[in-house]
Amino acid sequence: MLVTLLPLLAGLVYAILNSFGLTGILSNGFTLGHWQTFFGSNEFGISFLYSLGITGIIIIISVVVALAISINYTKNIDKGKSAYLFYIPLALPYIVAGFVTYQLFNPTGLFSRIAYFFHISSSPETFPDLTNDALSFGIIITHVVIASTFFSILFAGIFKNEKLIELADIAKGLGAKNSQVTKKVIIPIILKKAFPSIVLYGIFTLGSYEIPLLLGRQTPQFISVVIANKFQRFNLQDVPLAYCMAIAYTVLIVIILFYLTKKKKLYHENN
Amino acid sequence: MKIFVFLALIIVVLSACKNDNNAVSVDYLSKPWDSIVTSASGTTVNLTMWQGDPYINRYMNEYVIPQLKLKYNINLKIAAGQGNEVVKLIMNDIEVNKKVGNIDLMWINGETFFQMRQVNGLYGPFVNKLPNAALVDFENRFIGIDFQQKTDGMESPWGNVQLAILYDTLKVPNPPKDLTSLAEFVKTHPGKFTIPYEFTGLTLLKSWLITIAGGGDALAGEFDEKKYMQYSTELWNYINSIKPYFWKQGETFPNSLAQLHQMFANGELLFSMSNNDGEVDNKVLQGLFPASSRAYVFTGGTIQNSHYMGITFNAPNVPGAMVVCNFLMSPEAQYEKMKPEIWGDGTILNLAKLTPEWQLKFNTIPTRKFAPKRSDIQQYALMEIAPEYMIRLFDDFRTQVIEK
Repeated sequence: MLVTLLPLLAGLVYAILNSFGLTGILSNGFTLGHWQTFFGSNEFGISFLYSLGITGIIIIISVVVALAISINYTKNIDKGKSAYLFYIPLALPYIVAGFVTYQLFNPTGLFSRIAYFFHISSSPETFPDLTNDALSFGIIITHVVIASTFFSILFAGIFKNEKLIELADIAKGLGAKNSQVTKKVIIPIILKKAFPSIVLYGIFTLGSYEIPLLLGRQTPQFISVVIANKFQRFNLQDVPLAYCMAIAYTVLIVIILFYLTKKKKLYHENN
Repeated sequence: MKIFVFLALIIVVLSACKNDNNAVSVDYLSKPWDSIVTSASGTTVNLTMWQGDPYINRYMNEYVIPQLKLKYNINLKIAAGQGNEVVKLIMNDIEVNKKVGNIDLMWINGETFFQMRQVNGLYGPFVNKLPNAALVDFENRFIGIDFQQKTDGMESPWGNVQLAILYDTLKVPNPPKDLTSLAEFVKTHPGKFTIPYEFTGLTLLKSWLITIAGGGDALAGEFDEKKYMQYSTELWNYINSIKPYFWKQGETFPNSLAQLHQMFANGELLFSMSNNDGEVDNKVLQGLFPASSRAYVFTGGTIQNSHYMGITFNAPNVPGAMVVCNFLMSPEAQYEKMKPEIWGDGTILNLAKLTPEWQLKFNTIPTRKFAPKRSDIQQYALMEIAPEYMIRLFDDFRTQVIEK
C-alpha cells in the first residue's frame, strides 16, 4: 500500500507546490495567480462535466449490453472458440481501437463506402458524422465495444461463481417467472458483486486520452486531453495551470469515489 | 515490519541509482576540432526526433547512421520524440539537477528553441566549432534567425522549408491564391477545407496574420500586443465569416496533420498543407497522394523557416553530438537529403561557398516533379514571427473560432 501511495502522494505534493509557484524552473515564487486563472475560466468545469457525462453513457450502455450477453450466452463466453472473440477488443490498445473506429466510421471510411456502393448514400458528405462529431458517437462506440466485452467476461465469472443458474432454478421452482428471476435475482446479484469493478472501470474511462483525442472535438474535450494540452503545448507558462487542473481532477475523483462507496455501504446496511 | 521492508527497498533502489552529479565536465568548446572528433570515435550518440515520415526515417537509417559509423565510428541511436516532450524531460532534469542526461541531440524548430532557451536547456554556443558551419548561409535571415530569435550558435541548421498548400489539379484546376479568392472558393465548395489545430495549421494562421497586417516585415521584431489584438481580430473575423463552409461546418478541426493528409488523400478535403514545400513529391512517390497533386503558396506569402539540431545542456556525449551536427551540415549529407526521392528538404548551405564540384551537383540535382520550384516561391517567403504570436494564436483560435 505504502509503495503505491507514497509516489502518488509525492506527485500530488509536487503538483500543489507547482500550482502555487513554489517549485518549477520558471517559477517566480509564491503566487495565487494560477489558481485565479483556473477559477476564472470555465474550461475545466465544462470539460469535466462533459467527460463525466460521456463516461456515464458509456458505462450504462456497456453494463446493459454486457448483462444481456452474459445472461443469454454465458456458456459461449466461458468455453469454445467463440470465447476468444470476447478477448479481441480487450487486446486492442486504446490508440488502435480509436484508429479502427475512425477508419470504419469517418465520412470516407469503410461503412460510408459500403453505403455508397449500395446506393444508401449519394456521396461521402451525406454519410452521417460519426467521428469528431457533436454527439461523441465515435468515443462512445469505441469505449462501449471494449467495456462491454470486459463486463461480459466479468459478469459471466460472477454468474458462475455465485451459482446463479442454480439460484434461478430454485426461484423458478418457487414459482417465479423467467423475467422475475432475471430482474429480481440475477441482475441485482451481478451488479452488487461487480459494483467496485464498474466504478473503477468508469474512472479509467473518465481519464482516457487516446480515444477522445482521436475521435473527439476540440470543444468540449475530455479532461485528460485538456490537461495534456496544457502540459505539452507551446506555452510553458501553462504548466502550473495544468497542475491546478490535475489537482482539481484528483480531488473530484476522490469525492466521487467516497460518495459512491458511502452510498454502497448504506445500501448494504439497509438490505 | 512492513515499514522496514519498504525502507530497505528504497535504500536498495537508491543505491542502485547512478550518481550523475559526479560526472566530469569537459570544456569541449575550447578544444580543437580534431580532438573532438577523436573523443567522439567509438561512442554512441542518442538523438531524439519526430519519426512520422517514412522518407525521413529511411534517410536517417539507411544513409546517416551508416555514414557516421563509416566516417567517424559513431553509433547513432534514434529515439522517437516530439520537441515539446523533450522539453518536459529536460525541464525535469534541470529541476533535479541531473548533470548527465539521456539525450545528446534533438531535432528542434523555433518553437522548441524558444522553450529550450527559456529553461536554459541547450548546450553551447557550439556551432562555430563545427567546420561545416563555414559553409552555412547564416546571412540568410531565414536560417540565421529562428522565430525572431538569433540562434547565437546554440542550434545548428539542418534544413529549410516553406509552408505550402497541397491540392489535386484534377479536382481544383485553379486553386485560390489569396484570402479573398479562398473565401469565395470555400463558400462554393462547402465542407472541403479546414485548418489543422496543430503546428502546421498555426503556421498557416501566422502567415495569414502577417498578410492581414500588411505582409513582409509588418510583424517583425518582438511581440506587439497592440498589433496582435488589431490584426488577430481581423483574422478571426475572416475565418469566422467562412467557418460555416469548413469541413464539418467548422464545428471541429483535425488534431493532426496526418489526419488532414488522409482526408485529402481520400477526397474528403480538397486541400492539405505542409511545412515542407517539397513534401508533395515524397507523398506522391509513396503512393499516398495522386500524381495530379501539386503544391503552391499564397501570393500574400507563407512562412519559411529552418529546422535545427540542438545539443541538450546535460548531453552525455557532447563531442559525438557535435560531430553528428557537423556531418548533417556537410555538402554530401545536405545533397542526399535534398533529393526529392530521398526527402526533398531544402538546404541550409550557401552554394557560393561550396567547391565548384558541389555547386554543380546542387545546381543539377533532380528537380521536384510536383512541388513548385524554390526560386518561384522564394519571393512569397515570410519570416517567422515572435513565438508569443503562436502561443496567443493557439489559445485564441480555440476561444475565438472553435468555441464561437
